[in-house]
Amino acid sequence: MPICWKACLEKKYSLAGWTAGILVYMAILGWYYPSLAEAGDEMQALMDLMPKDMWAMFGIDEAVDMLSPSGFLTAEAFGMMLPIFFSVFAMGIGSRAIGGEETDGTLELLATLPIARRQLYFEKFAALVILVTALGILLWLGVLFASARGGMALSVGPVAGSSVMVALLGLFFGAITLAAGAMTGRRTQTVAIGSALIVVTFLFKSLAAMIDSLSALKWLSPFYYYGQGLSLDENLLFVDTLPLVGGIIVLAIAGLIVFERRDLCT
Amino acid sequence: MISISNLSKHYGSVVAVDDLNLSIEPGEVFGFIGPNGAGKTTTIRVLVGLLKPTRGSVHIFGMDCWSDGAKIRNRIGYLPGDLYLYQKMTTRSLVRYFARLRNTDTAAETDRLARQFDLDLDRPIGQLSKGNRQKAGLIQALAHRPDLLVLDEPTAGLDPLLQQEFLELMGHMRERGQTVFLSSHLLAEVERVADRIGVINSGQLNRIGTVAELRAAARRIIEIRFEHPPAASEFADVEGVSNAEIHGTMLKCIATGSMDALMKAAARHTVVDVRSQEENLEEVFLDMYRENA
Repeated sequence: MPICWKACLEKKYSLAGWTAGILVYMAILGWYYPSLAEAGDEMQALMDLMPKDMWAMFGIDEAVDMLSPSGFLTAEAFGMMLPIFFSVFAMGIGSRAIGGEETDGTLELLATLPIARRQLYFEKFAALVILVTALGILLWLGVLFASARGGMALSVGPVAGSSVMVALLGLFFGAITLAAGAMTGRRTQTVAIGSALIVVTFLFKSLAAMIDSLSALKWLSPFYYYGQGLSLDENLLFVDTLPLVGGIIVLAIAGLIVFERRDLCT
Repeated sequence: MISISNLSKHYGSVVAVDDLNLSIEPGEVFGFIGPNGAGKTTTIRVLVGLLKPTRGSVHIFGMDCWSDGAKIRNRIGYLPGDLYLYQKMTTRSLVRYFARLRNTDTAAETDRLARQFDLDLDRPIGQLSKGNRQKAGLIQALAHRPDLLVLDEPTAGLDPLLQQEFLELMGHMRERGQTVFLSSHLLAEVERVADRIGVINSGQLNRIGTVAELRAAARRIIEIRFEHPPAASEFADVEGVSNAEIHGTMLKCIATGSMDALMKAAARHTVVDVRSQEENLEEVFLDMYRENA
């Protein structure tokens, strides 16, 4: 797997940077949570005043108990910040994988080596999965660290499940840019497509939660399926991962079909 | 070795290559000549499996370039016309990376080529001059000792000394029985190493032949000085003669093919001096390009 290995090594500094950012963020949350919890009833009363629509704008379907560890981390991290972190990280890898190499001109030599395009594509995809999984594992460890630091006593299993869901959401958007790059050979356009889809699908989910007549829009949003499996109190159910896993597989296959058939480096 | 049958490649309504037929034998150095935009690079990209033919087929080693591309490319070395290498890698790490993908070991040959080209293998490619990047590209194309070398404008960016070295290298490859498909818009570099030359223009193969055959088609500029000025009309209809002009006692004309008719026509007068200047191949090809344009 030399292509996969090279792609992973190229992103080692990027992975280290994102990991550092997430760990710092988690450390801040772990440091901040005890003072929030001490505020007790006053803080909860303030939270109760916030309308449901306000929560929806931050990616949370229902008003959460901000004083509980899981409610605090859902509101502060898993609701919006971490999905965006993971999606941007994965999109960077996906857009660079094939579209970036073709834009830079380096794909011309790589694609004329004695490897099938299918192998090239799968190795690039494997690198995306490995890097996002690595960030997911580091997130899992970071949340457990924050939990220990802030006395939250979160269980290992649900934190792992939530980390899996956020990694799957990132992979979904990474798969979009990788497949779009494989189809078009253009990096800038794929990043634009991916970024627009993050914003639009996040809005779909928020609008669906706020406006009853638009509730069907949630089915078009990967953020909705992400939210369905997200829980820091209960273990992740396999079935909740299926919509995102299925979407990732469909995107991967669609990108491969076009990549195997189209002209490269035109 | 290479068999191209009725190859056409279209980009939408633009015809880049039009019904190209070509056969190249093992051990042959084939020069593929044409002006910029003639279809050379498109043909080469079909050969190496980057582009799918719109019509026709291309076979190398008896296998189809599109469906059996990976097997074919194991025995091909390729240097693109627009060479882009990973800027942060060194030449050594680049060639090692490609060798892993080829499932072979090229370390010894890489070192030998680096000595021959006088290239520091351990400098990042991004820090190399254009000429040295071209050397790095040549090394990655040659290191696995391919049966077929496909080179698109290989001497672009090389100084004259390196161009000379490169042409000598082509000669060595021919001696070793390796086949070379060499594209260029510069005839001078191709005619020195190529066994045969094909001329492509506007996507069509205009002419193909050995260097000697193409030279035979070359025109000569003839100057004949007479004792007394002849009439230009005496030479206007002479077979193989064109552009006959009289300047004082001198006839200037262009002769193609046999000189017999011209000499017999000139012998009717007292000839003082005859000068013949062969048109160089570069001019022959420029004429072909103009005719086609």
